Amino acid sequence: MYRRTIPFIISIVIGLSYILSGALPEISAWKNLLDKWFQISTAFAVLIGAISLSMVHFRNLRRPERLIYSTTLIIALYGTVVLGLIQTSKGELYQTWYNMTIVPLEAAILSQIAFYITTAAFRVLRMRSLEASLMLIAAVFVMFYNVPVGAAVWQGIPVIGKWLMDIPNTAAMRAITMGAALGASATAIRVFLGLERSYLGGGE
Amino acid sequence: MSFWEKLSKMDNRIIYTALLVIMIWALIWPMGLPIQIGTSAKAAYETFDSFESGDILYVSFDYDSAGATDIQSSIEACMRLVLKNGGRVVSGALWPIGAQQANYAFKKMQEEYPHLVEGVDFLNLGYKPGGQMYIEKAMDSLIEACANVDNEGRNLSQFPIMKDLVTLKDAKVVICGNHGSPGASEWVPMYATAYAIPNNKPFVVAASAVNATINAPFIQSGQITVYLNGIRAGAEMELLTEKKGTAVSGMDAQSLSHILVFVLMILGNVSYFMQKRESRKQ
Repeated sequence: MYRRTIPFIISIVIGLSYILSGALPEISAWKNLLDKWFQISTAFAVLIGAISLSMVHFRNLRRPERLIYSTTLIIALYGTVVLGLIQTSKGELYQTWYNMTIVPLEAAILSQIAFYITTAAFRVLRMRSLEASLMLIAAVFVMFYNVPVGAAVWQGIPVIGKWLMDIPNTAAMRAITMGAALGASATAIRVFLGLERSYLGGGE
Repeated sequence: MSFWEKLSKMDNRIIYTALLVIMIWALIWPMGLPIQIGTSAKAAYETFDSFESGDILYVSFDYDSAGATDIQSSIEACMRLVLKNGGRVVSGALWPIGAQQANYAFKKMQEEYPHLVEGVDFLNLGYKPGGQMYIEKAMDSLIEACANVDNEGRNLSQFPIMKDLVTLKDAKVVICGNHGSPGASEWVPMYATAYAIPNNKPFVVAASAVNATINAPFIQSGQITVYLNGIRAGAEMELLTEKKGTAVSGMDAQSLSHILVFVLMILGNVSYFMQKRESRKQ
């Protein structure tokens, strides 16, 4: 009852009243309150994330094979928090810490894509069928549309690349977006009808 | 094993090394390939060059340092143009690390324009959770949406700049730095569609190149009025603002790496067809 029925009733009441607030200005104050709660709960989600991460990695300290990784993570997590509290995010040491850890790490992870794409271009993009050939040709035009060398080779490359992005790509993206929106609406209806309860936990 | 078979089984490390070498080469010895200024960069330049003394630009840093490679140069060029014309800049962030990217940009601007005073000419509101809800709230009251604190936890009411930016509607232009969600997909319904477009105000998005496909429908529908796509737009903006930086120097490296990808595509396909021919002969 406390674990499933009450959370279920709360979610139905909040969900339906939020939808109705769009049509009924009388309950706009209720909607404003819900907006505030949402912002506060999002902020708490960050805190819960940090607590959960800490619990997992403090447990890992007892496992020799994971000790080094978990220690690094704990030092990084709490080091950033302590530095931020002492110096604020504008402090010299905080900025150096940030610039020497997160910036190169995130950039390095993203830049790996370049290496994977290059090897994939060699191994996967093969003209095995008509569809694969069309995809390969489209990829070449879009690729060179984004860099100066494309226009330097032939002025038609950026024109064709832009057409591919504006027409076929936009049409496909619109279809995907509409499909996802319909899917989200269907899920919301299932939640309101009580058919979808997996968000309450318990594996249903 | 035939030559074509050997080629198709080429070690990945050879490809990685080739890519690394040509990129380092292009960064150390740039070729200076001409960069054509596109219509989007021109539109962005005109939008930000129209700022007059006291006008406020709101920048949403909705990206982390991974997206910064693509986005930061565009954002900084827009901020530079606004501040040069006597405008003011307020920043927020829907991503936690975005607040630090804003600090980074403001530090750079302060080095270029030492007369800038925090709280008067610029202010970093910091990371604000809630995504769409934050934007919706900020359309009514920015101070309320920010729980009355900036990035350093200081009371917002004490800053003169906040007296002229009561709601997001008071900003002359809003620019969203977009590297995923929350980002442009939140700003489009809550700000662009609900307010900017009906009031003939531009809504500018500076996004990483990987987001181009996702944002394309919003550009075509006119919900995003100016779209700065990836490092290419950054390079164009740097040229327009006559302040060459990392984006311009990165364009040659990007061109060369694209040529390498193209050459590998051809080699891969040639080896594929040659192997097929050989197997048919056998």
